[in-house]
Amino acid sequence: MELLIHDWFPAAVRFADLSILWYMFLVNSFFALLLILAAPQLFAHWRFGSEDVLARSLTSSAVPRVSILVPAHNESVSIVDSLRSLLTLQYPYYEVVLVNDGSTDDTLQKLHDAYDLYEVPPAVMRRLRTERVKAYYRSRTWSKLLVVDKQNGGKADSLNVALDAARFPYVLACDADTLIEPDALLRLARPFLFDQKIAAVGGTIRVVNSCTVDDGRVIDARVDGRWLSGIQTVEYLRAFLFGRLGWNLLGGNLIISGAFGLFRRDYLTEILGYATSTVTEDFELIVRLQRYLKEQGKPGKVVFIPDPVAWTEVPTSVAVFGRQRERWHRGLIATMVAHRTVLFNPRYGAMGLIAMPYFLIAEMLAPVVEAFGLVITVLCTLTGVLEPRFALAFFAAAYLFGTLLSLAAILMEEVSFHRYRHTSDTLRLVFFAFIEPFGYRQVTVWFRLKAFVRYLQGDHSWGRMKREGFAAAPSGAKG
Amino acid sequence: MTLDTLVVALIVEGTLILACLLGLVVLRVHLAARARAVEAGVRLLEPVLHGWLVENADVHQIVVLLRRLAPGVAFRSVARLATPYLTFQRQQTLAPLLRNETWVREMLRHGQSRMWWRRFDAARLLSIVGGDGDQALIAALLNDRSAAVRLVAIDAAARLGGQLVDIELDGLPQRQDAVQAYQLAALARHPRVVAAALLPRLLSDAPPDSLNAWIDASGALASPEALTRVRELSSHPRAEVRLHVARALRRLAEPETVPVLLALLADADWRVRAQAARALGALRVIQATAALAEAVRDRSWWVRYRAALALAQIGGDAREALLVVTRGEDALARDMSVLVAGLSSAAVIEMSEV
Repeated sequence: MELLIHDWFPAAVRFADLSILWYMFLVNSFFALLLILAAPQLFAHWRFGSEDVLARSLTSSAVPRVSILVPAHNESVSIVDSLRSLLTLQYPYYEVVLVNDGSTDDTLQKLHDAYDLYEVPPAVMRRLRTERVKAYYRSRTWSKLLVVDKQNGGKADSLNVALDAARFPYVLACDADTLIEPDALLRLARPFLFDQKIAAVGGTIRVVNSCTVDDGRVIDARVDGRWLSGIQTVEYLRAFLFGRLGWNLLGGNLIISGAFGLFRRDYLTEILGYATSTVTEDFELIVRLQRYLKEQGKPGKVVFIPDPVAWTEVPTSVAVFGRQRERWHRGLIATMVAHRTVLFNPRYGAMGLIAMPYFLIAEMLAPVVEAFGLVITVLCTLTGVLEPRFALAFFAAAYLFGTLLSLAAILMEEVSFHRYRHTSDTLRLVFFAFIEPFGYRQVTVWFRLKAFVRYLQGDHSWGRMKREGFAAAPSGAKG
Repeated sequence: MTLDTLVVALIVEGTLILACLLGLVVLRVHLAARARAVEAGVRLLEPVLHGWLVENADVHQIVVLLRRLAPGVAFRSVARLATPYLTFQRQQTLAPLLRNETWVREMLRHGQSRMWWRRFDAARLLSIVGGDGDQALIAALLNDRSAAVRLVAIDAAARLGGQLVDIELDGLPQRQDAVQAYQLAALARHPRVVAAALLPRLLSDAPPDSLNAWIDASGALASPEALTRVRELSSHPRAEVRLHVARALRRLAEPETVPVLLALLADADWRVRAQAARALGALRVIQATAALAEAVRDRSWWVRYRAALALAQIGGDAREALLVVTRGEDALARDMSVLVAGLSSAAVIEMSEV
């Protein structure tokens, strides 16, 4: 028996190790491909975003009319300022539909006081099934604003109510605590001016922690010095600047961030709006939308453009971070399972043959492979089955490749949008790019593995998120 | 996969990482220097432009100043300031003076470059300094393979008008809505030339898609000649065309327009009725009050909405009529009229516009 184990065990281990090695090689090669595809697009968008071209768009009537949908639940502290920044965007035609999702604090009262609301009858076309709407309010001072008060039903349910109440052909879904840059909507509308048939457009989300914020505007972009939010800053740059940009040329994006995405309203209504049963409604929505477009043979691309920017706060404690990542991964698993018939299905073109398989192999299964690879490599090196030099070289290659991708993202940021003006911030980004594989990755893998367990347990909860709020501008900054 | 392969990968990765780090340093220095140069150019140009606009200072000062700057800096400074500072008429004065400057000629030579971004910059510059001699180049840029170049070339074409108008009008129906609207806004800078070019196109037997685009163009121009011709198309057999007619007629304030719009308010297609109601509101047609009050009871949500807004926009007796509906028995009409009656005047105007 001992002899038998001795015979097959090293061979099996070497096979497993080589499989993991090839997995890493293929996935990393795909990341490199995304990077190569993203670079020329980034350059193009940087040039298209010239101030004079943007200014002409603003003064023309060409930009599409947009309804901004804002779900809010217990946002009493920040709702007035957040809403004011949304109501003063540089964009000629838009409205803001804010949905108070059964807040138990004084969110609605704050809105009444600040915006002089009056109740109006429910003169909207209800097309989606949602929790009960209690009242609609318009503002006497801001004609752009519509407030809907409803029973608590979650974010997706609130977005569906807002979708029904929206007047305009395009809708922008954003979070109440997301800060949208004044010209972001104008930039987001750029693909429409480029003769493209658009179903959805996504912009970049950046990390606001440690940035200086005044009147709902980021006036000085900084990189947080704390390791968790600092590394997330690099991660966001990597995900948005080349991850999503690369997908534009590979059959379209499957993720438009729920905090900042512009959609054709009629398409969203036709697919019955946001799914209330998922914990990552943004990913599920895009998969369902892309699927619908393919099945119905309707025109419309889902594109990402990098220069419209919205700022969001990221978790600074491991516990909150863990809950967020676990929820994201649980939502990914649920969506992949729900839309499994799309996988490797040529009927869905690039979505079925490239995008969905990528999300299955390189995203959903990544923590399993990574954890398995780590354990087996360490174990086999200790037991002598694997040559230590080989194991070391393997780890070093994986480490350097990850670091290289992060540095490439930082380089792309520098060459294009250059938002971090302080040299110390660039140095911080580089530092975080180098330390990310030590600790942060393993922590992420752990929380993503937990997602599998909770998914199998049938958990649909969001988990409690805690926010710190924005860093206010020093008094002198207001001039 | 062997150890040797991994070692090769490590060497390649290490080299690329070093290249990235080096690139970051170089870029930081280079970009900072370029940004400083452009900022300095803008700072120099801004007061001179301002002096010309406000105090009628000598326009040649601008030309002399730009000549002193590096071509790239001069271009970026002008591009940055031209749109917010200069009206179309002011640009028409400045353009011939700049057109033959060496730095301008140098940049415009890139109009036929194989690199799209050079053609893009050339089109941007042509939209500020283009002259009659550039018509052929602009015509080519209007059909460029890059959508961004085509978009900016629309502004360049708008500067010149002339035969470029025909090219633009013929290309209009093929554009997406947003690009059409952009092009219409640009064409509106030459109302007479464009109106003259539109008249022979506004025929009921023209292809419907093209006809719709040209009707929209007539509306954007607000040209009485073109809109009078549009009014004659109000009984076109296609609802889509009647919809565009109703929308365009809100720019033609003539007594003859009223019966046409009232007829369109009774159209079988709800989209036409909604646009007719909107036009009657925009033209403040008091005698349409009864018809609009009736339209607030329409089965279509959009017609009710547009009719209620129109009554609020007309004001006076029409607003009273809207208040009467708020107390009526038709629940849908009541809801809509209560919604609109509560709006401020500014909100009514804003909501009627979009």
